[in-house]
Amino acid sequence: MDYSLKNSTVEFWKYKYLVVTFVTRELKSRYRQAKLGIAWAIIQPLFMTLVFTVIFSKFLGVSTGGAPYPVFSYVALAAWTFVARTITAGSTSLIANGTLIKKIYFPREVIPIATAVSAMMDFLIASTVTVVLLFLYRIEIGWQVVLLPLVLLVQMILGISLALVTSAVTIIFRDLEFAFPFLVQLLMYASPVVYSVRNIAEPFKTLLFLNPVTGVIEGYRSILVYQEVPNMMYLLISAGFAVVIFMGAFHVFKRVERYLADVI
Amino acid sequence: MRLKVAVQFSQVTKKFYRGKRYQPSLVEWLDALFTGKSFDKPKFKALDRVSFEIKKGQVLGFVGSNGAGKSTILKLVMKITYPNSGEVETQGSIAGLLELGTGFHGNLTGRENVYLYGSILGFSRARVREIYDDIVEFAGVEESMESPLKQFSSGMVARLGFAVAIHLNPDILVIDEVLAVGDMSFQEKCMRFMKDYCRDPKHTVLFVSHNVENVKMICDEVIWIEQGRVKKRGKTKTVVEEYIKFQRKREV
Repeated sequence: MDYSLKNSTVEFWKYKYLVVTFVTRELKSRYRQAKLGIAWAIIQPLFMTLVFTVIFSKFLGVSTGGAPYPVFSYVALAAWTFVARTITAGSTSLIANGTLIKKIYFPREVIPIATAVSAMMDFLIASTVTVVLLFLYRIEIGWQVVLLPLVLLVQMILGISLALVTSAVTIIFRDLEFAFPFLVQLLMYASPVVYSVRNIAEPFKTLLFLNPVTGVIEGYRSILVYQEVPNMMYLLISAGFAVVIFMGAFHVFKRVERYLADVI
Repeated sequence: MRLKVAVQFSQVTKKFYRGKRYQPSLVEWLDALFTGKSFDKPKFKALDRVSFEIKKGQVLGFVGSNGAGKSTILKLVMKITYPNSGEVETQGSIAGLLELGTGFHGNLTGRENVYLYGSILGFSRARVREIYDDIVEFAGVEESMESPLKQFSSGMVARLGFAVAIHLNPDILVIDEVLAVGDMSFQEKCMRFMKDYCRDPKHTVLFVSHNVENVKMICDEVIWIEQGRVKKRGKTKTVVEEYIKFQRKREV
């Protein structure tokens, strides 16, 4: 097998403009036809926040440790939407670009990575609402915000890894294209989106942190909602998982890559 | 691989699955992923133990009936697909046009498409900006660049695609039948350009065409492929003449 992380990174870097091109093309084509355009990146998590607030806060009385439920869940939903998109859009990304793959050579990882980057763009757009909500609920911003880039970094590595691995395994089992959207829904309940790890007892709490998404979501919550330094252990677990998934994803992807033109 | 060689095929076999898309079983996948070998189950041999080498600075033509394996050779050269057995080696950067308009987007303008296509071939925006005027001038479509590509004629798209690819200045330029839709004056312009291009000893051109006149015009040498095997290789004139005879006989 004639690939290495180093060579692939060097080659990928040469094609960085192609990532930009793919991202702009995707964002343009996705929002150009829609009347509300880019607002859809906000509408989705906002609407779900509304529903969750009614069901989980008003009806079921989920405890948030004193934080207003809409902020509490929106912060988590924005990050969750990102993860969900890297999985579902990632899984179909190679198939969607089949004609290109069959006709032109370029490093194939550009495609799923561009998917993760456009999901990140959506996340950043959706994050403007986070700022508005924090302002509306008069939640002050603490010095801990300087730690946000750290959480964002873990989130990005995780997103790229997920897109890489889902795009490759979907080539092997086409059925996953339909299974992933469903799995994502299940995975949401295994992540602290509608609830908080704060109201989960051991041993389930530790179990929950084996889900790499947990560290990211709770990281944002600690910083933005509670003005606390995130539990570094948890964030480290997330980062560790993100890197492990990345290495696995890289190897799977590189091995699947050479067959793409034959099976797409 | 020797220094003067641009492309070398040694005993290359490539199998395909004819008909619908090939769906390997999980066992086949696992075997492929661990060994790195291509799927062996498909029976149709697009290429069967093909060997040849192309020297740097050559303009080499490929002729052969439909389905003979010409495009498969180009795909292997461009690392779009990999062989079942044998080895494909190349030296230098490669750019090519396998099909008209691949990578172009109908709703974007001509200008946007030049940037899009440039980045697919590995250009930076800054680099495309530098050569943009040359590209447009070579393609001869100045007045249409701000309108959407879907309003372009197929000839204009071909011109534009060819112009972008050649301005990338690759060591190995791969061209598959894309010039056929251009008008005569543009075809001649491309032919002249390719001749010039190969004066530089590090440039090599691989040219596939069913238009034997074009092949005659620019190629130093021709490889004739038939049923996945090299049937003949030699001076353009002799091989093309024999190929024409073969085709006429087949017609009857």
